[in-house]
Amino acid sequence: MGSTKRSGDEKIMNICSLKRARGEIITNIVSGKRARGEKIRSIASRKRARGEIITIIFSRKRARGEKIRNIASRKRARGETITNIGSNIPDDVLWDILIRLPAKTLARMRCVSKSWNALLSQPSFINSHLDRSMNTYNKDDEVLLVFDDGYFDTCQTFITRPSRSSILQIPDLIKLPVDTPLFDSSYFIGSVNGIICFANYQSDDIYIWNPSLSALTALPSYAPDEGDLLFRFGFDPINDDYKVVKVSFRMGEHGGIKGSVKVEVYSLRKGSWKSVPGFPSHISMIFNKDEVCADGHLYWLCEVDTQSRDTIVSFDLGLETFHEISLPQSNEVYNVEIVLGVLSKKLCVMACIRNGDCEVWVMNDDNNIGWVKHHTFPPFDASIIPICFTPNNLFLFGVDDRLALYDLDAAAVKLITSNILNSPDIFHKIVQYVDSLVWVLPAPKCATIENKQD
Amino acid sequence: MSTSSSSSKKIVLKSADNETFEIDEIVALESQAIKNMIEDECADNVIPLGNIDSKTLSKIIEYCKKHAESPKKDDNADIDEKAVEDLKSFDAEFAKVDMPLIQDILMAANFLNIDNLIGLMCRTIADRIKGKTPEEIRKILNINKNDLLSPEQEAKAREENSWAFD
Repeated sequence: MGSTKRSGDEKIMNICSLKRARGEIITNIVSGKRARGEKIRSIASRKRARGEIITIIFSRKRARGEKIRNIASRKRARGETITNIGSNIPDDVLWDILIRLPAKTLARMRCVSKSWNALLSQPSFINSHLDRSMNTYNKDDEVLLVFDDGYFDTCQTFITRPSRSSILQIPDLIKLPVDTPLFDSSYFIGSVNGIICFANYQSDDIYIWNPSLSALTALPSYAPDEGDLLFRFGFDPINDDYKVVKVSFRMGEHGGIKGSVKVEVYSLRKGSWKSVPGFPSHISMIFNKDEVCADGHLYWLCEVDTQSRDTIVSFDLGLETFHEISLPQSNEVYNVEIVLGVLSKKLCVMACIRNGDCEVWVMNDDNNIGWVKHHTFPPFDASIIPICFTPNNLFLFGVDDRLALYDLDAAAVKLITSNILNSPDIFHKIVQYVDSLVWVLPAPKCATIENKQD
Repeated sequence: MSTSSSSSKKIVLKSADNETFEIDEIVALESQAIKNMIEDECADNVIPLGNIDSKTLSKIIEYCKKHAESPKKDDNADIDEKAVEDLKSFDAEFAKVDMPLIQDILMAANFLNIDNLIGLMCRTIADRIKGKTPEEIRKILNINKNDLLSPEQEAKAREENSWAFD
């Protein structure tokens, strides 16, 4: 009996044909929340034990683990005929309709009705919408935002493997926050789940921006530090939180970091800054060129005190702890700087070796395997500067003052012919444009309490 | 597979307004719900569908017939391009009906668990409400007055969206 195997995730429909012995057919349709699923099943099996014929029809499975209110189904359970259905579209059906729409459209649709507002504010809906927009991008319409040298006023977009047009006009896709004070002196900090964090180097203000929603907010100001400041932005999957990490230190006369490195973390959920100890004390230099956030961690390429040896410092955004990761042991000598990146959602190291090949190592932390050499790119005609992998695993690099993409699947290079960049180098910030409803604002009360404690 | 085949097993559906529809089992199998009933041997008598009227049910049967007759994608790797196109244009034509009927079909498809049809109807509704104001959407979908936000709730929803700078 396959009925139990067919158990739908959320909604269960139960058509029972009873009392057939008396020649009657009674159809009783029961729908309900998944929470009621067990109960319905057990009633059904009791009836079956009494020899009555029961058919349970489970609705199609959905890969979502959540409860759904279902007004129409409850009406059906009471035997009411569904007429004028538009007045109460059940939430699971509404979900199916709305998940197909762009974030900005959906943000405006919250005012349609109570049930729409409830559904569109639900974190599980927002996350499913995000998953859908990240996974439905194919290589042909992957859109990247390019910040030349990391500056905001240079923002351009391009489609990685354009079948239609190579350059997408910015106003057609996103509205840049040009009204932000000192927009033209803003620089990119990091991007995750469609949210972009940027800062202003004149005012030191930090902003969180969702380009698909045209949403922008400034973080509360932090205590000023003398010395060097580095910022990072990342997603903490443990607490479903977004965090800005501020690293401050002073440089000594001979170029190395003097004294300790201070780290403060801002939680968008809590709405407050907090000091986090434990940055490795033997680090003499932090290279801040690669904004790498993968798997709930931030990574910095660093130099170890006196040894002129490079290492990676990682920060667990959930646990707020630091760790150190050794670089892969290559037999080759690298002839340019090592670049950190993300490949298939894992930390990777990209480095060119003497003969022009580019080695790519991927950190495989399952079973502590460590670094795995993922790829060695064949020599390109000229020496290249590795930049990053796009989320669809296209390898982006600079060559001859131009940007180029290497498609691993097609084993082909495509030069991006436009002159969108002054010159390609590792300081360009390139992020995927993701249509995202994600918007995190601290609950005002929590922020006040935290601030008082601090 | 053919509807004229007298040897194939028939399934009888009865609409809310007591109209009966005799269809081939292969057509009925497009509905996962009815498929489960057939597997559980509960489809020998008339299947009453007390919440689907005859107008909606005949549209659903039209859809299921067409899709049952079309070759399935997973049957054959090099499937006839023309058949795919044919089904696409059928779907496009099928969805050219007024909004109340779209919604009736969607609810019935959801009830009968016809995955492709649910997808088609959801896509159609999404396309029709895209770019419309909340007021227009309420009208298009005939949203129940009882479900409207109170002025306070609406103000709050707007306020939470007020970070949008355009």
